[in-house]
Amino acid sequence: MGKQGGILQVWFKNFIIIVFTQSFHAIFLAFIIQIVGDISVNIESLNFTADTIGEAVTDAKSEGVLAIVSMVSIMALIKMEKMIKSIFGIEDSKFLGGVGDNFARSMAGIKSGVSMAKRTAEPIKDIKASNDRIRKARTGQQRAMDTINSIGTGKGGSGSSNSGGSGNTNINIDNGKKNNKSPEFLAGELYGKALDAKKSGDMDSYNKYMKEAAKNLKDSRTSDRQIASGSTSTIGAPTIDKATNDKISAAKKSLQENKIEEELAKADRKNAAIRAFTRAGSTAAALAFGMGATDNIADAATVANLVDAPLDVVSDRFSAKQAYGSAGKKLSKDLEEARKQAIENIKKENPELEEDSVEFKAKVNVAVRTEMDAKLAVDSKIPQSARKEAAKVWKEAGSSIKRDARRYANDISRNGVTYGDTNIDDI
Amino acid sequence: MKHKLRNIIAICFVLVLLVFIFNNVYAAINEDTENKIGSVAGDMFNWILTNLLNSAGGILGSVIAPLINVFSILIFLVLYMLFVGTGVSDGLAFPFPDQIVFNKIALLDPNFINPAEGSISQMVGGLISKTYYSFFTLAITVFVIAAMVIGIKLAISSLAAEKAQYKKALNNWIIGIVLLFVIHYIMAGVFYLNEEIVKGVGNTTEEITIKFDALDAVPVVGKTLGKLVGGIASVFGAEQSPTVVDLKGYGGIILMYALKGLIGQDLISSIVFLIIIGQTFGLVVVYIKRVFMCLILGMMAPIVVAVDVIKKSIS
Repeated sequence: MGKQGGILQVWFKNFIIIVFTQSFHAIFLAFIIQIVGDISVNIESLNFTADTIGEAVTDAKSEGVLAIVSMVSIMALIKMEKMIKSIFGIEDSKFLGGVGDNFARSMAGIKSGVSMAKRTAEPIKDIKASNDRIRKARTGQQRAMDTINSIGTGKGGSGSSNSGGSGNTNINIDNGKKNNKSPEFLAGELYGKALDAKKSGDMDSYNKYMKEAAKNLKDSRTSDRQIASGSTSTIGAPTIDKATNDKISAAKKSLQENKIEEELAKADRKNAAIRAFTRAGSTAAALAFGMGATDNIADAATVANLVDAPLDVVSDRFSAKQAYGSAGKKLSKDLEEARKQAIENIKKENPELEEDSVEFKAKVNVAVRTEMDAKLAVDSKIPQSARKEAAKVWKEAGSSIKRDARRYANDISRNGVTYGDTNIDDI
Repeated sequence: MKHKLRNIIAICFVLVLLVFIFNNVYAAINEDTENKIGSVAGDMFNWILTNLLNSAGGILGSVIAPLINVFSILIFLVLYMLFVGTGVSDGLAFPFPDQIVFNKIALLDPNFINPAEGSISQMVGGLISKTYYSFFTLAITVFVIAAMVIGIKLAISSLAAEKAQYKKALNNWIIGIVLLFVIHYIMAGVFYLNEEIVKGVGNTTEEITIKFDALDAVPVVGKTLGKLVGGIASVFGAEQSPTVVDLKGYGGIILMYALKGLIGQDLISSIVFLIIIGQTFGLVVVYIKRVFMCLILGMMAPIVVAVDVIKKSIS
């Protein structure tokens, strides 16, 4: 063998080192296991003797040594191959990820580090952006409320729009007294009366109310057509201040949108806060893993980056579910409040209506459904990961209301009033 | 004068040596600079600070430890799925560092000449043998051509120096061809020697156990409880606390930190568990890499011998 130099010698040296590294590892590990066993016996003997109860300091020191020895020994095992190779004068091959191009490795490490730092800092930026959105949404709500209040106290509302909605949208519905009711509103009222008359067997009154309702609907359509064509004069129907009505509608819409925006921004902020925590944790854990799996900081950063990215995806899904799930529940609670508010408003507006009458129920359903539809728009903005959770909440809260509203629309349709499901909110 | 000076230096040297022999100062800590305050107020401050830091560590630990544990479990599951979940190893042969190093994981056995059941070498055995014999045939062809060239050159050369050179090349050729036929015996011998060393060393660790008090895994009161139970047991003459269990090898160490970290929510144990399991992952990578390196070097062997002979013959 002595004469066989050159590539055969290099091959042979490499083969011997690669195979016998395991022997070196085994000897070293046996030694370490012996040490670890001795330390653990020492710790337990400290625990065991009655005289040493309370000697926690010595115990903690021994435990610390045990932890350090356990960790460092495997690190040394991994590094040992390199050391043995250098002892036998074998240069590490670039083959299969060997050491070599330090510059490229360092650059990869730096790039990975920057990428990880960016990902970790990302949620903090989101928190700031969410705070700005919340501030803007609150300003928008305040502005809308000011508009509604100024109209309410100055001119009085038309009362033609839905009285449901959130507590904040409790506009001055009482101002829209019966004398100034819109034809659509009267139509709904008359239709309810007609159904009540039918129930009591008074078919004359039923026919009378139905005719009146139909007349009002006709007036309403004529009025709508004229408003659409630019002529503001109305025929027979009570006067509607279209500009005021539009202003209130716009303010209510703005209020609603800003409220939704605020809830969404709050959910986003919560999501970002959870993400900031989980991402920092996952980065630290990934770095610890990287340090464990490799033997230098540049490689550790590269490995950590590889581990950190999928971990971030998993933890982001978790935080989104936490944040948007609770936002969905909050919106559901709001919806219940809206329902209560709608009932109160309708009672106030229609003291003559009984709570279990069809008309009353229909009005509540329509009011709440309008509110729910507005809130359902939130669902489309919620990330895919959290939609399932939100959809579940909405389904529970909204299915009965939707069903009632559809039934009411079908009922109207069957009785000759050509209102479709989609136009039910107009009543 | 010169003699005197030499004597003085010699006496001083001997004295210094004696001082060093009888006073072991090599590894002593420097007590003068040890961090001691040395007053009642100072000690109290030290005590308060230590307890504050310990409490802060405990509170922080209960928040961060579960998060770290999630990652540890993920890595553990990856390794589990890779080895036990895919059926390449049974539940006992999980790739703990000692299982890997003491050659108890068949998958990581690099011996492709006598492959273990379930090893990578066995899985790709067909490919390795085909490639090896292809390279072997190629090497034989190269040797035959080399022999013909050397023979012709030897026959036609007239100068003694040239003849000597070709004779030397022929010698190399003979050594090469012998090596070509015995190289796989050499490789088998190397593997055998390594396996025997590993087996012998591994057997010495069989009896070593790691003592672990199961009560240490109980959060908050575990340690105190463990000490109390130990104390009471010693009063009654027991040799070992009844709650102490004997764990074996590195798997035992990992299990110990896993229990303390996962159940006891101890931050340090969680971190140690994560690092050790990360290192285990690293070791698995190193050993898988080693298997492939051995396979590649083994398959290349005939070609390496052939190329080496040609290189020497040409030079």
